[in-house]
Amino acid sequence: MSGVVMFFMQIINGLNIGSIYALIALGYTMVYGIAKLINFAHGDIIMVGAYLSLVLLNTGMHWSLATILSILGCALLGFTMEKVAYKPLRKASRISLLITAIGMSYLLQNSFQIIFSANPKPYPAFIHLPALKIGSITISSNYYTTFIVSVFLMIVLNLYIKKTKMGKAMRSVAEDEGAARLMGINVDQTISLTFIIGTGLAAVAGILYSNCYTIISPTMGSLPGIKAFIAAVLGGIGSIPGAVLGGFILGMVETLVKAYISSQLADTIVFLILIVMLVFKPAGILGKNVKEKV
Amino acid sequence: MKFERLLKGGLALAMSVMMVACANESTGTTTNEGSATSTATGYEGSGDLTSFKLGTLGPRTGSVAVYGLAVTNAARLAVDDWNAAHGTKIEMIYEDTQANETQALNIYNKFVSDDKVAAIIGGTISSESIAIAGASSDTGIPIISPSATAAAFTNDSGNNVFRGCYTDPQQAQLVADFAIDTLGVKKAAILYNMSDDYSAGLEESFKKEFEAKGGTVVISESYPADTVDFRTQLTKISGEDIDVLFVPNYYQDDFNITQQARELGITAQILGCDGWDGVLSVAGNNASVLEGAVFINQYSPDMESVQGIMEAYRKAYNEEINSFGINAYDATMLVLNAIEKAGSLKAEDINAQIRSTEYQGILGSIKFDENGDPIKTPIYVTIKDGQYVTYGK
Repeated sequence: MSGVVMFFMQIINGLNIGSIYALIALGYTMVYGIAKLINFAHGDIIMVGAYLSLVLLNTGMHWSLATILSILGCALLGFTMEKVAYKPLRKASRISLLITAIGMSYLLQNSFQIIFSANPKPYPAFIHLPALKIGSITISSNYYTTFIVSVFLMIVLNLYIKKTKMGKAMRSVAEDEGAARLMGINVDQTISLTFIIGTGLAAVAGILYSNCYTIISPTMGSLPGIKAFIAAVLGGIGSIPGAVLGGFILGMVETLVKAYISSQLADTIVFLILIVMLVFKPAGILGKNVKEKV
Repeated sequence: MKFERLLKGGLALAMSVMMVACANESTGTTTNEGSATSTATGYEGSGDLTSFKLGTLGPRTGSVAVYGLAVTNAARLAVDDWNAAHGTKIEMIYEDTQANETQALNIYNKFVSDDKVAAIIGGTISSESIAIAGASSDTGIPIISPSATAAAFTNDSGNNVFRGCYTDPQQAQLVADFAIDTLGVKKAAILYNMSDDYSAGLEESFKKEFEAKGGTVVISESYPADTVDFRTQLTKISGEDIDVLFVPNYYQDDFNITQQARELGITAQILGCDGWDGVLSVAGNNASVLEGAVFINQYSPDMESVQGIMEAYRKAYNEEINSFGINAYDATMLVLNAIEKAGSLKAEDINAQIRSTEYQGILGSIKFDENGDPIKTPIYVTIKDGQYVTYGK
């Protein structure tokens, strides 16, 4: 195999991992941008989405219905989570909220361990589209589906927030919660909706992830969750195109370092880039440098 | 307010209970240790040849309970079978170590000073086995672990300590020999988990043996823990000309690696070690990608000699036996056989017998080297039509 073909294959590998990170990062950034909460349980919602769809698929349900029901299930979970665990703490310090989110993450992981046992389970992948062939390079269907879905969702979300009335409400809550309330915006409803969209996105990510790596376990969400969080920060947390860009950059750097420098050093270099990035551009690549309000 | 008081009360109670428990544990240890050290060499199990006691131990509760339950349950089953066949009244005493070394030492002390067992089948996991093997130097009681793979277990202890399973380096060596001698290949690639001792150890031993026998490890790639995407490393491997791909990891990684390797068009023969056992449980409807992969294991479920114990175990415990259990059954039978041959419950007689006999068990022949490690028939398992099948059968 020639070096050029190999290089393109690695670029495609990078894009694939990148689109998974991007998809997860979308939900992170959405919730952070509007509710100002880093939802550490986001990675675990991915796991919940995967298990929900596994259970539904195992009943013999058609994959499209199973997917829709899993998204709705996760959205419901996100809604409840916000009402029960986060809303009562909205006036509390940022740290309490963060700790609650971490607690939520462990709660989900451990309850799923009790229900489904810690043993990994096979996931019946249902994306069986023909692979794409470009010259001597084959691109499997999982690769391009994840890529298309994440870019598509980015565009839709961006339009939703920029163009619709509800999106406008979200932006105003993000900017100043108090002022938004005075203007007659239903803040509680807006934040609930944000969580519903964010967790729904996580379910989509969970299902695509399980189609790509067909083994699921109760702890499957933690590592991709952390990587996606890094992607969101890198791209500028709160920015929707930033999350996707951050995801792709992260996936690409990781892959190219593994391929051409060393597998052992991949994570070291990724985190080094993150630190350098944060030192020189704390708001991330596409993040706005907002002055602290007094 | 009421709730808070209740909570505080509960906490205080829990703490005091814990303190009492700790105190009990520590006194328990000292008295037991006292009597253990006073036991002189020339240890002998109590009872006569038709009714004596054996002991077995392992984690029967907690996160690794699946291993301890298999070992202790199968050891009990072996004694029942022996009693039924020989009309004896041998008793198997079993205890729960909770995967805790201190607990294992307490159990060891109870076994030698209270129960006066003739031999011990255990421990189940390496850490507890090393602990009791170290403590056994003053009694010299026969200890045979069916499952402790850490080299230190037999290396750092006396000649009363044996193991029934391969050590990790032995496994990797046997797989390398298999590749060169049976498959006749020369070029290998390896993909291993660098943050796991098991996987990194196997990589090292395989490489050493494979190259010593004239093969070349063309490329050896690694990955950190919790990786699910191996495509970057596999893309690199796919650019090399190789005959075999050695994948010495646990089954979840093994499955992902195999699936992604096949997807990337790597057609090399895939080889692995006993971490592969269980790989079909995560394969679901994708089992076809595993077709033809070969790994070394303690047993193969299609062996005729293990059908009896598999069925009996299912009947007795309503569960499937695993390789830990099968090894424990064989190890218990080996000890019972040695005691019968020795005609004595004296530790030194039994040890001498174990050391000098080549035993024919359900897993084939087994004898021990001077270290107490087994020399036994290697069993290679391959995956055929979504089933584990003995290689070459």
